[in-house]
Amino acid sequence: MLDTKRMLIERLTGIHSSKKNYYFDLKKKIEETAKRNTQLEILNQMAKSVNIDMSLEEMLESVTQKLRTVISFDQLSLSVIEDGRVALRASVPAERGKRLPQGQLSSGSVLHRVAESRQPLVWERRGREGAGEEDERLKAEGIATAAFLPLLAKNRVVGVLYLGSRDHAYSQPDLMFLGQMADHLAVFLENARLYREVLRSKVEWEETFAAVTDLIYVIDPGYRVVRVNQAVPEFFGLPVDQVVGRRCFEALHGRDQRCDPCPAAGALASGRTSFQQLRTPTGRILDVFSYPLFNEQRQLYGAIQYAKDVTQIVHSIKFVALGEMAAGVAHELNSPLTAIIGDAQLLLRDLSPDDPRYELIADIKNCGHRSRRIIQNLLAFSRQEEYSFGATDLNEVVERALALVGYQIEKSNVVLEKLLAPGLPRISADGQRLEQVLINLLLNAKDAVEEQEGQRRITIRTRAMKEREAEVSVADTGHGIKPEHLPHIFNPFFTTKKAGKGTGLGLSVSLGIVETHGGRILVESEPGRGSTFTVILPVDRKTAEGADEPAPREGRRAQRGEST
Amino acid sequence: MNISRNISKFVTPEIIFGTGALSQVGESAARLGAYKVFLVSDPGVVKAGWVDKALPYLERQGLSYHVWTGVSPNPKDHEVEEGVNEYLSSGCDAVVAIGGGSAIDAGKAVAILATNGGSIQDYEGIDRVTRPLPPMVVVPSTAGSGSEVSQFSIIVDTRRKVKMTIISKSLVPDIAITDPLLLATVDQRLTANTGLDALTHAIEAYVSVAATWLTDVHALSAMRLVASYLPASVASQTNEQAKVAMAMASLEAGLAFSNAILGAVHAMTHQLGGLLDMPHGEANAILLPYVMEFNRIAAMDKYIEIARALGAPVEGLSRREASLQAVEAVRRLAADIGVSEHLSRLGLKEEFIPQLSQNAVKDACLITNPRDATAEDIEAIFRKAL
Ligand SMILES: Nc1ncnc2c1ncn2[C@@H]1O[C@H](COP(=O)(O)OP(=O)(O)OP(=O)(O)O)[C@@H](O)[C@H]1O
Ligand SMILES: [Fe+2]
Ligand SMILES: [Mg+2]
Repeated sequence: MLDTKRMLIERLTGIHSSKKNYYFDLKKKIEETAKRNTQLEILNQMAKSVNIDMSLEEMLESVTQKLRTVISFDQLSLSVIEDGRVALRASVPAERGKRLPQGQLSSGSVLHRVAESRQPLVWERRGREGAGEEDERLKAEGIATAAFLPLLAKNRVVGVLYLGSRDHAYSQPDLMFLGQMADHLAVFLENARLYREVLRSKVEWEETFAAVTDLIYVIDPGYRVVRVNQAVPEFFGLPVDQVVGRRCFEALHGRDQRCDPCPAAGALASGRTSFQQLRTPTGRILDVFSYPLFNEQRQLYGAIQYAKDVTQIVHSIKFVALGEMAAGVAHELNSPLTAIIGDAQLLLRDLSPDDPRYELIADIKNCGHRSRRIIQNLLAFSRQEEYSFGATDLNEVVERALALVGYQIEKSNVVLEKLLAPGLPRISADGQRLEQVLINLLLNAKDAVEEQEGQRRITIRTRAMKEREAEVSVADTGHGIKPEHLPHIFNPFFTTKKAGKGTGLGLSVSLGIVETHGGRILVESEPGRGSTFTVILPVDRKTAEGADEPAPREGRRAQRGEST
Repeated sequence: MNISRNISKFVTPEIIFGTGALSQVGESAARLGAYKVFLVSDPGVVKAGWVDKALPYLERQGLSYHVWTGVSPNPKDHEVEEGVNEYLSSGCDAVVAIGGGSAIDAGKAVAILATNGGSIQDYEGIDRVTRPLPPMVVVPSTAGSGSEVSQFSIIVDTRRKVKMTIISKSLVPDIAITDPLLLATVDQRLTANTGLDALTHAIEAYVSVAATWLTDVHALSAMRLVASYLPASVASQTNEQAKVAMAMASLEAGLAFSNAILGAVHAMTHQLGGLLDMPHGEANAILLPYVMEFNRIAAMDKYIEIARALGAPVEGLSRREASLQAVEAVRRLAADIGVSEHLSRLGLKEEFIPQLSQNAVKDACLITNPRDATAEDIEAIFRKAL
């Protein structure tokens, strides 16, 4: 009683109190301002590192030191929450991170609570507010105060920032600052996520772009190629660096001036999509669409060229028309040709070869045969006529073909050599069609040797191969095939012969027939020395076809590539 | 001389004293760093023309100001609230109070809230202020309250109907300007009441258990001045010598009680002011002799000194007789200047007494009263004074 009274008196007379001092207050204010400045510096630094390419971990590391000067903490961690899963992104001290739960977000965890409420949560050891599953760990680690702050991006919690201290209680201004820090971290995470998303869709597009088998390339207004997809260098057989950076008409079309017509010119001039059909130096036909490109200011800065190889389509349209016409013409020409050939044969039978008319009439007969061959090729090309397969002796087929064209060949001073293997297995084939193939090959050989000086020789040879295959080859000592022509000789309508001499259908039709038999054609050729065409046929067509599905395709590739 | 406590403290503002000292108000505020002064006053002082007189002094120093006169006698919590709102919204940075105890106490309360925030109830009691107050210049217009030098501010809690005593060193104004000229406009009754308030301050401080040699010096000096000049001051509004002396008395009594605190009289009148809005000085004047009678046995020697200071004959009297002279002297002085002897005249009713007494024992001022007083003791004193 007495003591309390004395104490009260002491307080009343104020021995232990003084008027509050402004200097003291000012000092506190300055300290606060300095602290706030450092806080702003930290926030600033965080904001900046969003722009420079820095990882979240690096960014946190760079501010941790400074952070300690403005806010007391013994532990800090940053957890990212995505699709109900937690991933720890940073922890101070680092080894504490290993003890923190990750993966599926437990509904009893404090992170879950913060994510749900979107409100900061302050836990105090002596406080009423529990930290759920974390309660025990925090206590065990000797934490007195813990602050959990939600990282909000577009009103969605993308993570939680945690600070724990053993001796410090977080004040309202502390929490406000931590809230601002959390906002910056949220922006950081959100940016990183958006960047990943953009990158993913960019990669997706690039892959799509690359996967398209049609040609896609971008040019600038000066026709310089800026980008290409994989199909472009493949189609033109050029390395990428010989395309990109060069002008399209130089690199792709081998010209020193703009193509005429040029689809890009239209798009670049009008700003509208334009279309042109172009023919490449190698005779391919391309449908080229040109789409103008605009920047945000609606200024034209280039064009996307989309080119489709329509050679096949164009040709098949041609074939259909041709086929229909040929079928009609062939039908109409068949009877007169039969009459011409038959009558010529009748006349020849009555004439001695010494007769000066004999030559003339033989010519009539041969030209008749030639016409019939052309008609047959046209018919074969235009129609899927029924094949009639039967057990066929390849040597017999050779004999029949030679019976038809042998005389013609020998007449033009060519040595015709015939090397037929005895005891060839019979093969399953349409003899008539194979005869057509051999005639085509023999006549090509004849054409090839015709203008050659010196020895002119054509060798036709049959062989059995490994029991399962039989082959027949036609070799000549002709002018050979230029390497640049080699990839195209099997294309329909490809011919190097002058108009009226070749239609360019012979090899194309022949390959079609051989492939229908499950076989393939090999070509070896040396310019100036001669060529060899080898037809390889399976003995049993069915097994060859059924057993090994991709064989014909491979065969086709081989036959085109091989040359010596 | 009081030598019982060997460690003591004496707090005082800078004091500017003298006829015409009001002229120093602008310079004083400017010196303390003011840009815009919150001038607190009451309608009576404004009417007497003192505010108009002070403003040019502020202007001369290039200070701007905002005048607030929303104060009533026994200033109320809601008035303080309105005051601080005006202070903050008008962008003031210093307080100048010109007026009686009410205006000065209100100015102090506004100053507290201006920098400490919250409501004035938060600061009731001892040392609750945590942040420095804006600079304060105080000019008393009555001789009595002593508020211009004290660490007290008394504000009525209108909900609880009690006077809250706020005590803090920070409430001691930075500069107190006492200009006796201002006292000339005060009427007879107010002069008498405030004069006896000053006397009460001096006597309560003198017999306070917290009195020190420094407070004793001022308390005794104040008693002498009151005894010599109060009657003359009441008698004439223009007696300059009496006004100067009373201004001195008030100041010294203020210094004494601010540092030695008060006693039962103030513990009781605080309740009367809170419940019945009774004028403070008059209530003190009536209660003082009754409390003195009660306290006398606690400080007989000091009572003899009081009797001496008040000019009562003590030579040759017994200790008891001599000490009783102190009470008699106060009674005589009150009678001379026409102060009533009964609180019922000021509206006190019998039925209020128990409640008032209960509250009085809780008042901080009772702590330093020399004689221990229970609620029953207080009740008995109230009944005598009824
Ligand atoms: N044995 C060969 N020697 C050299 N070049 C050949 C030989 N066989 C084919 N070629 C080349 O391949 C081209 C295509 O041959 P293909 O038989 O398909 O058509 P063509 O002989 O020109 O015309 P068609 O046979 O329809 O009358 C020929 O124009 C020729 O350039
Ligand atoms: Fe008083
Ligand atoms: Mg041909």
